[in-house]
Amino acid sequence: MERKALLKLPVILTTKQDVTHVHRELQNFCDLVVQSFARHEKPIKYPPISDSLRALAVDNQINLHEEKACKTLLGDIEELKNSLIIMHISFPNDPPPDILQKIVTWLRKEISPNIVIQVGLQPSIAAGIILRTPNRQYDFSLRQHLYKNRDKLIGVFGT
Amino acid sequence: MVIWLAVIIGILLVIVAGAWFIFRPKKKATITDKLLSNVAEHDVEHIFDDEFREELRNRGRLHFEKIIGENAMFLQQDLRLTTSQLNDYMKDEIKKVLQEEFAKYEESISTAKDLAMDTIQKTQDVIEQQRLVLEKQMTDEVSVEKTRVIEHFEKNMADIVNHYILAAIGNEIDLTDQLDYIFQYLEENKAAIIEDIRSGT
Repeated sequence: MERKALLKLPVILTTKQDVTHVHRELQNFCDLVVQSFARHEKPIKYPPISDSLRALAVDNQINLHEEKACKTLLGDIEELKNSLIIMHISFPNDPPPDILQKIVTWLRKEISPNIVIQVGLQPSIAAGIILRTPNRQYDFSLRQHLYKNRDKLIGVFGT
Repeated sequence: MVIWLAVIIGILLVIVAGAWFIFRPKKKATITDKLLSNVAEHDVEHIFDDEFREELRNRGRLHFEKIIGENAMFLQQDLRLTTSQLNDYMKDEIKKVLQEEFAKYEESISTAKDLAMDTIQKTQDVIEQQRLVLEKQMTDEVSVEKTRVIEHFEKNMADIVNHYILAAIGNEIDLTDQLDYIFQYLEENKAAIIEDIRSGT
């Protein structure tokens, strides 16, 4: 059964590596905040955060300056990491980030909010993508499109 | 050569025989004749003295030489005539033999020519048959190969077209332009993907 989404993943976090990176960053952030509280530093020193972590906090409406909220977010991310659905997508060439974000947005909206993707390169597919889920592979490449329209091709070439 | 020698010897014998016939001894005559003969014998020595005999001998010698010369001339004429006839005969014979040989040679040439033509014609027929067989064989092989290539092409047409598209504009296809196509396929397979994820997770 698909688990219920604990956190809303921002679109900037497209891959599992992004999530892991944010998790590690948040862990360091929390550690530094706790150390600052323990030293009774005033004002509390908050380390700079990345756009990914900021987007995660904003999308989930979490104030990272609160120690409890920070630790809750850390726990949720750890739990989220175990429930991520990884989809492997092969592209004919290196995809730009905006394309990846559009695809991820569609997948999270239409399929599951916990989806992250793993990008692969396969120049032989020419155009389109090949999507591989944990159990199946979907070939949306130009080659497959041509295979499906083989009769039309034969008609065009007049063989 | 021997024939000519024999002819010459024969002519000489005839001359000698003629001389002997002229100067042969006379038969004894009757009594009168005998008397006359006796007188003649008695006077013969007186009449036919050495000078007269010498005179007769000279005349005989001259006559003999004249006859010999005439016969030699006749013989020479005969020889020339015979030689001329012999030459004509030899020419005719040689001509005849040569004509016969040439005719035979021409016939042989004609036969060999006919044989060669016949052989060439047969060879041409065989070559033509071989050519037709080869042509048919080549046509069949080309047809089979063409069918095989077309089947192969049709079977792998998608790969071939994909390969050429990739080679031609592979690096120029923008992913942005493909988004509609990708989302269309994702939409078509949305249910299957959801089902797959539900059953897989």
